[in-house]
Amino acid sequence: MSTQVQHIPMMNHVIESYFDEDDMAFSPTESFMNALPRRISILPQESKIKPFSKGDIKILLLENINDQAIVSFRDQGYQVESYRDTLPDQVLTEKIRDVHAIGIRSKTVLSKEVLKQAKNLMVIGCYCIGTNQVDLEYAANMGIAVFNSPFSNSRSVAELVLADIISLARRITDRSLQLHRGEWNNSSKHCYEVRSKTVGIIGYGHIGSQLSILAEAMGMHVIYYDILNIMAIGKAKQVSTMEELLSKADFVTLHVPETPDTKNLISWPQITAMKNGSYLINSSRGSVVNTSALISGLKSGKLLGVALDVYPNEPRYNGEQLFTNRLNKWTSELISLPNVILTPHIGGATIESQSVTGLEVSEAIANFITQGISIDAVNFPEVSLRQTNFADDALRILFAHQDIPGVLRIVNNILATHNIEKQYSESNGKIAYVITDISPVTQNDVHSIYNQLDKIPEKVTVRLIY
Amino acid sequence: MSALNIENLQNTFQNAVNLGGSPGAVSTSPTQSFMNTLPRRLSTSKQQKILKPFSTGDMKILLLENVNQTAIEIFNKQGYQVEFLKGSLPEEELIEKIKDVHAIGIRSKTKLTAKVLEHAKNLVCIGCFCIGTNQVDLNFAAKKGIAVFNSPFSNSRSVAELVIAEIISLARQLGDRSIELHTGTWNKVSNKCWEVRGKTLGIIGYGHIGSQLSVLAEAMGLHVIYYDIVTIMALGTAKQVSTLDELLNNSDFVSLHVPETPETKNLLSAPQFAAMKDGAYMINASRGTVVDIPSLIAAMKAKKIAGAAIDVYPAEPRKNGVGAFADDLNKWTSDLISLPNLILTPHIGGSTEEAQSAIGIEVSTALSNYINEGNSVGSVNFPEVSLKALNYDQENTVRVLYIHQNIPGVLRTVNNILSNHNIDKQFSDSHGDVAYLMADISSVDQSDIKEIYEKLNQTDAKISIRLLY
Repeated sequence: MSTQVQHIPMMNHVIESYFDEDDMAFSPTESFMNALPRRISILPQESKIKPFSKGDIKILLLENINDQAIVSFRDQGYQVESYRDTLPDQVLTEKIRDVHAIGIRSKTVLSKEVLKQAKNLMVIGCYCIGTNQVDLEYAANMGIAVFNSPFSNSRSVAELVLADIISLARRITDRSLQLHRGEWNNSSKHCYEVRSKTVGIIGYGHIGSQLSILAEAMGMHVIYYDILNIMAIGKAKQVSTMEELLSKADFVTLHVPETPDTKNLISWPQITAMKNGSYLINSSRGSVVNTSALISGLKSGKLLGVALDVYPNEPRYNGEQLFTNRLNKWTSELISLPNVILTPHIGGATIESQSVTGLEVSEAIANFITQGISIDAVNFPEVSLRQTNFADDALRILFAHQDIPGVLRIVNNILATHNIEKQYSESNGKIAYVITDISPVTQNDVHSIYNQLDKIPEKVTVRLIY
Repeated sequence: MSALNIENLQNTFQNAVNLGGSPGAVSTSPTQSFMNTLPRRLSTSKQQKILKPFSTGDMKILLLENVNQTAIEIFNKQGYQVEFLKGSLPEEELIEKIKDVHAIGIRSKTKLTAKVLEHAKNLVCIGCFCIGTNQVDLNFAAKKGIAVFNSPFSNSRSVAELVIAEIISLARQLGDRSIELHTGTWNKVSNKCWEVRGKTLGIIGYGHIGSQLSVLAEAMGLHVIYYDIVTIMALGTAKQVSTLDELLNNSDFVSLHVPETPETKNLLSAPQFAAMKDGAYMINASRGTVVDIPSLIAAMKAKKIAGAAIDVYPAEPRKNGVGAFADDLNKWTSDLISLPNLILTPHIGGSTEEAQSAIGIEVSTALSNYINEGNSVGSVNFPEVSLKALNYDQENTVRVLYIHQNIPGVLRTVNNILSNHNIDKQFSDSHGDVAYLMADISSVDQSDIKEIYEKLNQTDAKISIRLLY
C-alpha cells in the first residue's frame, strides 16, 4: 500500500493526517503484546473442511480497517480489496454485487436497497461496536450473518473518558490553547482535583463498568444508573432513578446504545436536574444528548464544561471545513464556549483497540465462511459445531431457513441415506440455522443434496463446505 | 486559675501583663478555630495560653501573588493586619513594602534576594505558598534570623492527577483533535493513538509528587519504573532502576519530578532524548530549567519524541495576561508552539482549589505557629525547634526565642542571663551557621521581662530575639 498523506494546515504547521498505512508506529512494547487477549487464535488448519473454492472468496474492506484484518485474510488465501474511506452509494452498490464478505465501520450504511444488490454476500463484519448502520433484519432474511466487536474498544473509551474528566476539571484544553496563542493564565479558580468527586455512569455495560473501575482507582466515588439490575464492581453503587444520579454526580457520563429509548435521554429537564457546577461527557451516541439543552446549561454556568466525542450528524470522511453549522446547526455556538472538549468519534480509535477488533471480527468472518460458525452474530441464530478430522469425503451443510415447523424433518429426509455425524440447529424467532456434518459422500451426492435443499420453499440460503 | 471565657481573654491579658509604655498592646484575638488547627500533640488537657510577643507592634503580614483566601482568614483570626495583593511586585516597590512587615507570604514569582531582605528590618518569617523556595535567598534569610516555610506536599495530588490526564491525552492526541474540531476539521484516526494500559511510565525523582504519580499510574494499569539519586522504597510494584539511561531506554512516558538544583539543570538534553525510546512522550511539571527545550524541539521535529506536555518554562511571565508568553520571554517560543501533540500549560500543576486551600492553611498555620509560639518545625532554612504550648497554669512564664550565631559559649551566656529564673524547658538546635534556642522560664515578673530582653539583646552572638508571654 502506498503512503497517502493528507496535509491539514493548522496553526502555522502542517501535520500528516496519519492515513499512512505502511507507517506502523513504534511505541507498543512487549508489555503491550502481553496485553492482547490470549483467546484470539490463528485458524487451525487440521480439518479438511473448506468452502467451495476459497481462492475465489472476495472480501471488501472499507473505512481504513486495521492492517491486521487485511493481513489475516490474505494469509488465508482470500481476495481482499481495501479502501481508506467509505464508498459513495452508487459505487458501493456496484462493488457489493460480487463480494462474499464486506467489512465496514460506522460510516457505511448497508440499507435494504444496497443489500438487495448483494447477491453473493454471506457475511457482514462491523469493525466497531455499533451495528445500526446495517439493516439487520433484512440481512438475516437474506441469510447474511452480521458480526461486530462488542467490547474490544471498551478500555480505549474508558481511558479517554478519564482523561476528559481530569482535563475538564483542570481546564487543560483551554489553558493549552491560550498558551499556544501567547496568553498566560494560571488561575486556580474553578479548577479541581478529581479525588473524592462523584462520577455518575449512565449505562453500566462493557464500557461503563470499565470506566467504573478506572474512576475508583483514581479515588473517585462511582454511582450508576441502568435499566437493568447490574452487579456493581468495587464500591460502585447503583441508584434507582436517573434523577438521583443527576442530582449527585459531579461528572455525568453516558454509555448507552442508540435506541429509541435513549434518544435525547439528556435534555432540558435532565440538565436542570444536574448539580450546579457539574460536567457532562458523551462518548456514546450523538442522538443521546440534546445539544441545544447542553449549550444552554453551559451558558448559564450550570455546567462547568463538557466533553463530546459523538454528534447527531458526523462527517462521513475526514477533512477540513466539515464540522460546521451545515452539519449541525448549533456548531458555531458550541465552539464559542469555554471548557468544551470536542473529539471526532475517537473513543475506540487506538492501535490496540483497532487491532483487537480487526482480529476478532476477521476471525468471526473467516469462521463463518469456512465452517459456518455463527457464534456472536448480532442478527443470526448462534450455531457452532465442533471441528473433527474429516476424511476427504465429508460434507458440512449450512442451511438457513424460515423458522416454521417441519423444515428440519424435510432436511433430514433428504439426508436420510447418509450418515449424519452431527447436527446443530438454532433459531432466533424469524430465521433458523442448522449445521449438519455428514460422511461419506460422493461428488454426485454433493450436487444432489444441494439441488434438493435448494428447492425447499422455506430455504433462505444453503451452502456446502467440503 | 479557673477556666477562662474566651471573650474576656483580651481584658485578662491587659490586666495580667501591664507594662505601660510597652509599644502597643497586641490585639490578638484567639479563637477556637485557631486552637483546633494546632496539631494535637501541642495541646494539653489544660487550656493553652495564647502568647503575645514583647516589643512588637501589631503583626503586619504582606501577602502577594493571590495567595489563597484560607490564609487571609487564618491571619485575620490571629488579629494580624493583612495586606493582600494579587500579583508580585517589582523590586523597588517590594523593598519599600517589606520594610515594616513582620511576615511575608509569596508564591513562585516574587524574588526575595539578599538585597531585598537587607531592608526587611522587622521580618520574622517568610511563607512560600507553594513548593519551591529557590526564589528566596535562604542562607541570607537564616543569617538574619528569618525562618522560611513552604508547603512541601499540599499540591502533590493535583500535580499527579494533571500528569495522568496528560499521559492519556498525549497517547490519544486529544489536544490536537479538539483544536482541529473547533476549527471544523474532522480527523478521526487511530494511527499512533494508544491505550495506556500496559505501557511503561518512567518517573525521574521519586519524592512526594513522583510517588503519588506512581500509585495513580499503577492504578491505571501502567508499569512504573523510577530513577532517583537516593535509594527509595518503591510503592506498589514500581521498580527503581539504577541509571537514568536505563529509565530512558525503557519508558514509553517519561515524567520529571525533581527540584531545581545545579545538578538538575538541563537534566534532559540532546543525549537523553536520543536515549529515549522511539515514539516516547515527555512530561515536565517540575522546573523549567530541567529540560533543554531546543533539544526537545529537535527531537520532536525528528519524530523521535511523539508528544510532550510542559507545565514549566525557563522564563515564566510574572503576571497573567495576553501576549505574555512569546519569543521575547523564551526565544524558542514560536518554534515550540508549531509542533503537533504538544500540551502547554501555564504552571498549573498545583492550581486547584483543593491544593491552594491546603497550602493556604498549611503555610499560614506554620507562620502563625512560628509567630505565636516560636515553633519552627517545617522550616526549610532554619533549625527546627519546638516546645509544647504553654498553658494557663503557667502564669509568669515567658518563652524566650533566641536566634544566634552558631559559635561556642552562647548557651552558657544565655543561661547565665536567665539564671535567676527557673528554666522549665529548653530546646536548642542549629542549622549551619545559625542556631535557635527556645526556653520557657517561669517565676518571671513583669519588670523582669524588659531586663531579660535588654540583656539578651546585648549579647554578641545574637541575631534576633523574641519574647512571648
